[in-house]
Amino acid sequence: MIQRIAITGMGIVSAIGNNVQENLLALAQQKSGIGQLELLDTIHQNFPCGEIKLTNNHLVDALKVKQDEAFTRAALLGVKAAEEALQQAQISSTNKIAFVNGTSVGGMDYTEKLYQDFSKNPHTTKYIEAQHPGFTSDTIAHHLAITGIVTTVSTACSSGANALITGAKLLKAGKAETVLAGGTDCLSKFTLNGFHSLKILSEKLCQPFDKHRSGLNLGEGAAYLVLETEKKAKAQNKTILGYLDGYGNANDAFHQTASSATGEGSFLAMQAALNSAKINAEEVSYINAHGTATENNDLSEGVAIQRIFEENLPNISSTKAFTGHTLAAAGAIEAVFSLLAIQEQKIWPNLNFKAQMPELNFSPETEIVPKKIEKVLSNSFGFGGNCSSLLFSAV
Amino acid sequence: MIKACYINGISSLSPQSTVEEENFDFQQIQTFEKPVLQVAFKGYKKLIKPAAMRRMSKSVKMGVFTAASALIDAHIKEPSSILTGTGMGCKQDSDIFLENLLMQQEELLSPSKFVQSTHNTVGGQVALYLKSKAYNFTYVQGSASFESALLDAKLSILTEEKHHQILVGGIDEISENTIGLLQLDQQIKSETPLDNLKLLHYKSKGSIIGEGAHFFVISDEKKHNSYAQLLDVHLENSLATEEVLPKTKVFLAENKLVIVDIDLVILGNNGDVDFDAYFQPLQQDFKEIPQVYYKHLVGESYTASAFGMQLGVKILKSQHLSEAYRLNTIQPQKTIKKVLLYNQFRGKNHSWILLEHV
Repeated sequence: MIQRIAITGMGIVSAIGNNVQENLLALAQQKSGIGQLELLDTIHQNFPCGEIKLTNNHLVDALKVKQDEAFTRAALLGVKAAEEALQQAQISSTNKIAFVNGTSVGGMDYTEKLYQDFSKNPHTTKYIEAQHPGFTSDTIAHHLAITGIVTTVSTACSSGANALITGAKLLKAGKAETVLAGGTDCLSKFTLNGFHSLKILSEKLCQPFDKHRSGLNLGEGAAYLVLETEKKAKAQNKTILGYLDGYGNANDAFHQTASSATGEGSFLAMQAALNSAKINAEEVSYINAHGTATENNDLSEGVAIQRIFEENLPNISSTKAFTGHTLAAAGAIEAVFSLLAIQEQKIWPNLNFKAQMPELNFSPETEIVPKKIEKVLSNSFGFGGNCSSLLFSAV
Repeated sequence: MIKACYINGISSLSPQSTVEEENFDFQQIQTFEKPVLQVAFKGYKKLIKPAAMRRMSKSVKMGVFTAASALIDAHIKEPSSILTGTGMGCKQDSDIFLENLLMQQEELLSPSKFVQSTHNTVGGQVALYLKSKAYNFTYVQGSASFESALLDAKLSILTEEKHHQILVGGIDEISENTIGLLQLDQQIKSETPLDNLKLLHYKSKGSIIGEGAHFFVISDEKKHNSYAQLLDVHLENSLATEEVLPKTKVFLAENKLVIVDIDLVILGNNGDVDFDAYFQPLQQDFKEIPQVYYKHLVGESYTASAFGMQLGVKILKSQHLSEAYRLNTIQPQKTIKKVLLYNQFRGKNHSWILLEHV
């Protein structure tokens, strides 16, 4: 029999906090973490970002990382969030768990720092392999003593959500008993310049779903969930934080980076998530939207949401104005925010929103809305037309 | 009910492909004198329109071409999902964007290379080419990248009640820009000239590097043209050499098999004196059965093992073993029914694939 997927632990580090409690506090106080860059060495200081104000050296000390290992920033952030999740789920022995990581650029931060100097400094050659994302996952796995199934999903900005989907499938197929899944990405010149070259970064604080939105703010972070079958979680008397009851992935098949006007990919992903959870659209209490605040995404996603929910729109918000767009971590970070919405029975606000988009018939929530929340849909979309939607349920 | 996975279509592009012909028939083995084995194939226009091809990097061309021709081979028009594995993704475009960024000090960058640099570019471009809105995942896990995609195919068939026609592929390209870095990291042998067919004779660090794309159509439906059955796939992130044999036995036991049930083993030896010891336990314990290797033909890459799998599938179908890839001299005593593949890279990302004759 196919098992229900229970969440027994979560961990997060983002621009609004270094653990779940700090993130919750910032959400409740409506406090954004987006601001001036302090750590990333770039000429583009005019773009506000959701930067985590912890240096790599601080993280190395705090996490007791061995100095001779090649830890990328994404690996450091990943270990921090993963340890919190494993602790909450009371996982003391990690050798039997599977790890599904999501990351887009992996160790690009070290590659761009050392690319021209590898040949001059033999101490840096250990970072040559770090350019491939699997290396960052290997490093996290090694630190956590996870030796078995370790894999990485890299589908740009939907990676974290997709890692949770793969994790759920491993459990359902009986290939693993416990899965640590989520995503991590750090700010890098590579991504900052990439998004800048596409002219989709905003010099202002981002305004998801606003008529006058002017682009996204990048962010960094990591978040992981511990997934277990309901049967196993109950047999071990673990506290269940929520269920991952549905998921869907579809491809927009429209353009490498732009979304279609009809939001076909997002429509199909949300529909698949509802179908796999075997629920009707009316049962969804809240949508944590992808809502990056780019012209293209918010229109495409908004149209897709209207196509699915028609007249019965649930409460909608994007939390990107809190954390910035954390790329591969976004799906996992927003999974934590969705579970916190269920835990607190509150809809998180969509900061910086002022005017409704003329093309849409809805506005996102601008204040915290207390509400009975049973089902949350969380969207994550990425380059390559990659669209994912996750459905979380209350216990 | 136990659901089976059948391999119903294959297409493979490797350094052994010729300029005109993608699929390697082992009649004429190409030799290389340098440790960099590139794909010389030029026949992409058989399936890709020139206008579309102009914007495609080598990975995308190789990936779209083999994905499309694997579907043709399987007589399928629309896949139910598209799964790709790649170790480095679109490395050439990624390197160019990075170098421009560094040289131009973050000024005046064109987005064209950045938008092609994400690791799921091939998966996305295959979807665009096929106009497929299906489930589309990309895995990037070192030498277990292709096997991760293969595992997802198996998980999909086990957990989702529908008819599956899954495109699964492994793609990696050589980027000229970073060959120097791989040499510095001792991933590439320095002997000159170097004979790729004698790869295992050099007792030195590193290997020869290669590139390619290999796509398969995997379905829950057995057809008259099925090549083989995919029994199982397994990953282990890190192991000591002495753990390889016990882990192999556990994997076989999970499939109710023991060593003597295996008729052929395909190993990922790449001639790296520091790491080929990982293959020794299996070479020793499977010494009574025929053994095959392949990286001397196509070079090492994070998805070279996808070439190994297509080789295993074709051996199961043809029952023919060429001298070009024999690792020992044992002749098959009976029909080759069960094939085991094992691979690793630098002691990490170990994988096992189990195939069966249909």
